[in-house]
Amino acid sequence: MATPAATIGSTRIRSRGAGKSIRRIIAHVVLIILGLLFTVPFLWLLSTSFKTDPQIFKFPPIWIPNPLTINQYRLALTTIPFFLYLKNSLIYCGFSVVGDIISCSLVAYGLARIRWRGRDILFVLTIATLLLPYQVTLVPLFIVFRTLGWVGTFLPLIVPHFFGSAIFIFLLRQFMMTIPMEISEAARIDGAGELRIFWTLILPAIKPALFTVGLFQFQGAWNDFLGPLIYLTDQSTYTISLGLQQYNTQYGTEWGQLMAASTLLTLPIIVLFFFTQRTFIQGIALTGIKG
Amino acid sequence: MERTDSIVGRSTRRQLLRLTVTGMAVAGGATLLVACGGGTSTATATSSQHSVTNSAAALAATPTPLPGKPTPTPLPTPVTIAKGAGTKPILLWHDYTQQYYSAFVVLLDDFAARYPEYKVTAEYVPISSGSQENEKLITAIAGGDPPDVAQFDRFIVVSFAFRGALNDLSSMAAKAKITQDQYLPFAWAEATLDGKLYALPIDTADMAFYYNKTLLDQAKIKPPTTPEELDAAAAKLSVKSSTGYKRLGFIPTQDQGWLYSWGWAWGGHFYDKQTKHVTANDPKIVDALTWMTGYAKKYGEEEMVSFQSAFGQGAQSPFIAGLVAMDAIGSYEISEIERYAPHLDYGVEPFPHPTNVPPTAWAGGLFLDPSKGAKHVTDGFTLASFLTSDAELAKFCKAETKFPTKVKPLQDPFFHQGKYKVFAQLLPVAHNRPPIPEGNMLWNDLATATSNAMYGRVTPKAALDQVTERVNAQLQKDGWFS
Repeated sequence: MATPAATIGSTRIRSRGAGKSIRRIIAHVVLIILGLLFTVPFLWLLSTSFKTDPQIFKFPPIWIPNPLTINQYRLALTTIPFFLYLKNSLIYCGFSVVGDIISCSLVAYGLARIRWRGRDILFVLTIATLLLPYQVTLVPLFIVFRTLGWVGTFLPLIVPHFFGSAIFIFLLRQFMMTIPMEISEAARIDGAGELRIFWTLILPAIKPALFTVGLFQFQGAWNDFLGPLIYLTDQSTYTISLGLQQYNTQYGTEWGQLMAASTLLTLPIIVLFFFTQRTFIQGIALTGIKG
Repeated sequence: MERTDSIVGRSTRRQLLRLTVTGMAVAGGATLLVACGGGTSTATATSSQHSVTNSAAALAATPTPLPGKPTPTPLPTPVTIAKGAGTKPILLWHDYTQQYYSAFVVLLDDFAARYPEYKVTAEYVPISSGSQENEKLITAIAGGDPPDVAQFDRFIVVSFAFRGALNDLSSMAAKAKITQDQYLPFAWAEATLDGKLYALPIDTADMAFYYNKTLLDQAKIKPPTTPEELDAAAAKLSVKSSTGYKRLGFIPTQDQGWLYSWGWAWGGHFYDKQTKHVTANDPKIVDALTWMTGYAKKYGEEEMVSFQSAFGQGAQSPFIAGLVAMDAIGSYEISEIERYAPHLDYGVEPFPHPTNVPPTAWAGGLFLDPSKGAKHVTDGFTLASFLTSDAELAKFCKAETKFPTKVKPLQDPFFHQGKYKVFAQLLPVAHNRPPIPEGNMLWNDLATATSNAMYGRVTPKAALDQVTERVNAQLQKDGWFS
């Protein structure tokens, strides 16, 4: 038999508990509604990809296509060499990601973990290159690559990534500086060389940052329009960002085809993000970069 | 329990991740294998090439569709194509896609048959959305490696020519008997600088006034022909609810409702050819902008902008959705309506205009040009002049439901059918945007001035004085006039 005081106490606890769960439910409902709002554009994309042309811009919008057609997918995949462009995009993305991860982490290591004369000046110079707009270096770079005979190949798009990108060097340097220097010093006392310290101690510690670099570069290369436009001359080497333009005509857009192709391109990215979001967000949170 | 769930969830997720990674690895591996096998891409190219030739021949054999009728299934825009078996190479850059590409391939086949000594390589070069600048062409010209023929927007011809990026084609044109009188005035004006020809006009589309027949009939209104009639019709056709406008009769800035459209409709002139000065503050243009601001005052600029923000241009226009009853749009909208709103009952008339001003329109379009520094300028010109010859131009424009820029092909009754008739009739009197090196700046400044005046931040006269002063100052800096 509970005493009155105990009853009051347990009621208070219960009501506090009930209040907490109500707050939690409200928070969840609000978050679910907000989440759904954010999925609206994607749902429209998905729905439109199965519509016939006259249904696409009906007002009020049609959410469930009737009739439902897969014709937009058929056209999207046959009016442009979709998979060829996809393959080219993956080549560009893959090699540039590898290039950036190797070169930027090495350069960042040199700037963050080894003391040498002129290091800071070189770091400032590296960062200063970020201030140069791409358009300014476009023509001189084009002439350089033309002289090398690289125009028309993937080389002008990929090779520069093996020589570092200032923003990623900065990102990795800042990340590496958060690792205590004592770790490296202890390794040095044990006789480890710089490359060994880099490989066995630093690289595993900066995995989230490397992952972020990889994802940002993948995204950058995937969306890059100007680079492939300028340097690729043979249509068989075009990337998907150039390919998607082929759903545009001079005075309009093949909306159905564009939505079908966009759905096909978005799905793998969503799946990838679903599985890697923890590392991705961790990387962003730790480096303080907002997407 | 919660923990078990989470462990199960995690292990399932891990399995899924493993599956995905394996799948991606397999796909990636396959991709790399394909990438490494050089022969594969050639095989793709070759098969595409065959399919293009066959389908192009099939397309050429089928009767041309009527304007506005749904276009045939487009040919695949393939990897780079080569036409002709000759030894003299011509590199062509174009941005034709979908049905326009199908029509263009037929012309390239014709060229290969007529000039067997050439081998034309046609590359698709996209232009960034919403841009009229061709970044690749600019870089290639500056970098000394341009194509033999490039297709681009007429808007930039004078700007390029003034900066020495284009070849003077006058002597080649004289030899090929290409003369001014063969072209519509607006097209020739945009292709020339100081009497010299720098590019060959291809196709065009002009602007006019669309109205929703059903809505006008329901309100017992005749299509307006004057600003006063338009204002009255707009008021009658607008429907407002407590949350905002459900429908607007007319929005002067919607679709092609640029100040160019209304300034010319009011009889104004944006440029003085004699003095080479911009005259954006012409009193008639000020009147046109004042009239536009009247809509902002009556319906509220914020409300109109918020109403417009739910829509876009072309197929996304509120006119297509039936939520704006009257609109300024280009001739290209006819085929968009056929596809996206086949049941829309509408009509087309010239822009409403003051009674003392004749009806007019304005037009834009594309050009072909052998760029400066090209390896085969003369051969490039041969191709460009063939593609823009009367017969080829007519064939091309019929297939792509656009208009030719030449007088003779435009006389073909095909271009004067149905709703296209109004556009075809207006073309000979159509205006062109001022052919000046700062065409882009003038365009942007006029848009800003319109917006500022509509929001009431500045009077129409002051806004246009500022545009005139700014652009003329830049032109003087460029050395356009002393």
